[in-house]
Amino acid sequence: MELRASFSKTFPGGPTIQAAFQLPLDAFGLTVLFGPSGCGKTTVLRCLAGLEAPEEGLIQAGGETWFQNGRAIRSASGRNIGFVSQDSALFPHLSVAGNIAYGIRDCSRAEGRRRVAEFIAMMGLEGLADRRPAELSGGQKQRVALARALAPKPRLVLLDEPFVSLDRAAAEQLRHTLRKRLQDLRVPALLVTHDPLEALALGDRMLRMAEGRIVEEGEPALVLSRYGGHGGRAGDPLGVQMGVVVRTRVLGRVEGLLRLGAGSAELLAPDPGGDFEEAFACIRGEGVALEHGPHGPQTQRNRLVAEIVAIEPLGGLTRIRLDAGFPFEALITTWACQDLKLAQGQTTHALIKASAIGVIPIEG
Amino acid sequence: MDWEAIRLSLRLAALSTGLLVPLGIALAWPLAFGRFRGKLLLEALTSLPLVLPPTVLGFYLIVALGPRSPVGQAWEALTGARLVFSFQGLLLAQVVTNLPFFLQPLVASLGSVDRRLLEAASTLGSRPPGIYLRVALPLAWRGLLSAMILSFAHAIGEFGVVLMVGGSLPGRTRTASIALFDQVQSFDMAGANRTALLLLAFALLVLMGIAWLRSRERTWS
Repeated sequence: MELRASFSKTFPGGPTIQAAFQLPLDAFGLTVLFGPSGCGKTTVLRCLAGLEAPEEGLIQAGGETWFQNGRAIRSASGRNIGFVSQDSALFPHLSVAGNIAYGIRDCSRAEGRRRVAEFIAMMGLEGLADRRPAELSGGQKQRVALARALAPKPRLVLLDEPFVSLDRAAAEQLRHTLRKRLQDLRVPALLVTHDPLEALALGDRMLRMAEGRIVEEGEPALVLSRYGGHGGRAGDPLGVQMGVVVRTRVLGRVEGLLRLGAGSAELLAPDPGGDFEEAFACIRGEGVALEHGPHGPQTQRNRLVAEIVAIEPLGGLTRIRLDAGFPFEALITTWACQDLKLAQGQTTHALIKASAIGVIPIEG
Repeated sequence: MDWEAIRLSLRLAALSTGLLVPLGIALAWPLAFGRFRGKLLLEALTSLPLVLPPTVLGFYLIVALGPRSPVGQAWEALTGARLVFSFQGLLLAQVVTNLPFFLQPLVASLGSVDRRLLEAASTLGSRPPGIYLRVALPLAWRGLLSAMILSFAHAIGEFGVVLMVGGSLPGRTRTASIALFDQVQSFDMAGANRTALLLLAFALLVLMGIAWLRSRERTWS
């Protein structure tokens, strides 16, 4: 069972947004719809939710047609989806319990009360059942919004940048809760975000959008590596921020640093704290230096023997694509590249500063 | 002071407001949120009593409720009495006359309800009647209260339509504003002064109440 969507939507004076993709509906899986602000991610989500009508196309979910030939066959209320927006949109006149109970139907009052209590406990909202939304913090509001969206047992949850208005600590805590609860309840989800770290931490699959179209699809680390690493465009802030993304396993901890296994190689990187077994290591090309042979002590903690896979001149800078059991790259001056007489197929020593590696724990 | 007329005015205003609540609530939803052909016509029709001279409105109501009209004939067949120049006829006329005074504050208040809340309700499986009654209307309660107060107050003070449709039958159609007119006609200026002062104080109180409600309109966040 899956959701198939292929539609286009144009706003007057704006670009045409075109989307064509499929989402599995019969098992848990978190798909990330990723792209810069203003590329049309939210419009895609709103069209799926039935809050916006595309001009043309087809949206089907498990054999049920939601939208066809410019006409909504099923309105938002008949699609059985959960929708969580950036600002939580809680009903201000209802209590936390009233908000969560709002979408629960087709069950007895006692069963409804039991489900509300279950979701209050599940989302860590104990003691807040009778509070009004105005009395809650931003993080608590989003927890209520999530509980409210999940309580009616939807077949798909649509999340529109649900953490964007939260501070970092609240966002991290809620991210962890979100993925775990969706997994427990086996509800597939589509998450809109422009934050690559969030996409990596939460996503099983990624749809990357640019200028109103879905341009790439695949595993988040691969898509982001292509986008943030050698595939990223010059001057793109996301590309610079991310570097190449490598999936690693935690081997241990030493002197406040993490020992990470990447392919056959080992990396030392700053420990973000927390209990996790796997993590993405984001290696920025500017933090990688190259030398021909091992010299004396260096400040760089990671010294890897790597093969030069490709050399890409970028004017004053040159991008050296390397393989040390996992792919990564170095961004050095063209002058240094010529000085070292680097060539494709050559073996070299790569020195990576531990501080140039960003670690993103992978949620269970 | 003509207490009988004042009691009749209060009864008439209370009953017409009571009838306006379900009618106004039903009409306010399409006016606030509907997108349909004929919405402009509906808006114009429901606002008509605001701009139409009371005598014109009164004339058409006499025609519509008179003994030759289908409504008048049906009423007569049912009760054996005429609708015009009766309390019941006056009540219907008041409902029509006061409809815009009920609808305008309610529709304005509904229009200021955050659309995202209505969207959230629809993604949670609510259809329009449920969204309206469980989300929009409770959030627009101050608008509803303003609507009730305004239409009640206007019903107390209505003169032209009441005179046209009801005349001035003591105990049946003679309201406070008609009594005031009669007092002036018979040169009872002291009595007219008391009645006018009472109506003035009441109107002032109502407007202050509505202003207070509006000042507190957006306290929900």
